[in-house]
Amino acid sequence: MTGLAVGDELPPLTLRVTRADLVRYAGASGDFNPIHWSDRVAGGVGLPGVIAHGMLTMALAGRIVTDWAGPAAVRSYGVRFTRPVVVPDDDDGASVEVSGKVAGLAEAGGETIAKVAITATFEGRGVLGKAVAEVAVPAE
Amino acid sequence: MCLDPAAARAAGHPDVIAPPTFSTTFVMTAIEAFLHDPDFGWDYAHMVHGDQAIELHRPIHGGDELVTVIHVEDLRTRAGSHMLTLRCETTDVAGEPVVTTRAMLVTQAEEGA
Repeated sequence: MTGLAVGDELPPLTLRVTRADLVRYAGASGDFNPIHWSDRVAGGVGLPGVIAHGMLTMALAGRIVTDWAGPAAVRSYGVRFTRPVVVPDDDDGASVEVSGKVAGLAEAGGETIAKVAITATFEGRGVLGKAVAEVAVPAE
Repeated sequence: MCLDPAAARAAGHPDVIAPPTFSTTFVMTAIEAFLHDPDFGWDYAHMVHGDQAIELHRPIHGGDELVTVIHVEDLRTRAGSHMLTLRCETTDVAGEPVVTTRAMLVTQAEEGA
């Protein structure tokens, strides 16, 4: 990672979310809100269908930095949930495209921190706003 | 690194490393219990997650014993919506900070309120 510069792009990812993933995430997270598993309830509150948990979308998008620098390197990570990821009841699920770009580099506490601006899109439109992770860059 | 203790130890960590959003697995249960408290009067059915921030003071490892305290950091009502910010402070049992998260949740305010 030597020679890392502002504007560098991280390897992009395409991630798939199925209804089965939502069931697993509900159990793992403890978030059993029925908008994440019931079409009836989701439709009843005006959603276009069952939607992915925001925290699942955040976790998936975060893989762009953990794949790159490892899970122990992340110092902070924040997102705004701007649009839901609608997950159809089929085998393919929803496809989310994730990209990331180095937006800043700073020295802090004896390490180099890269500020990575993350973009996540579903059906061509962004689902996260102000998604930024601060990641410690390994010395080598 | 997240699943194989030997690989994590070989990289200099005491045990497996949790992914950055892992604290959700223990913080969410406490948040859910709070939001479902009838005395709080939160319209759970119409809730959306506005934004989320996670500040990791150190990685979470396998074997950690952690304590989380939820703080109501902000609650405001604007344009017919309640906006609630919960700050969750997770420490180890000695009180050393491990992770701070902030969740901003939005729901509709009561009709006519």
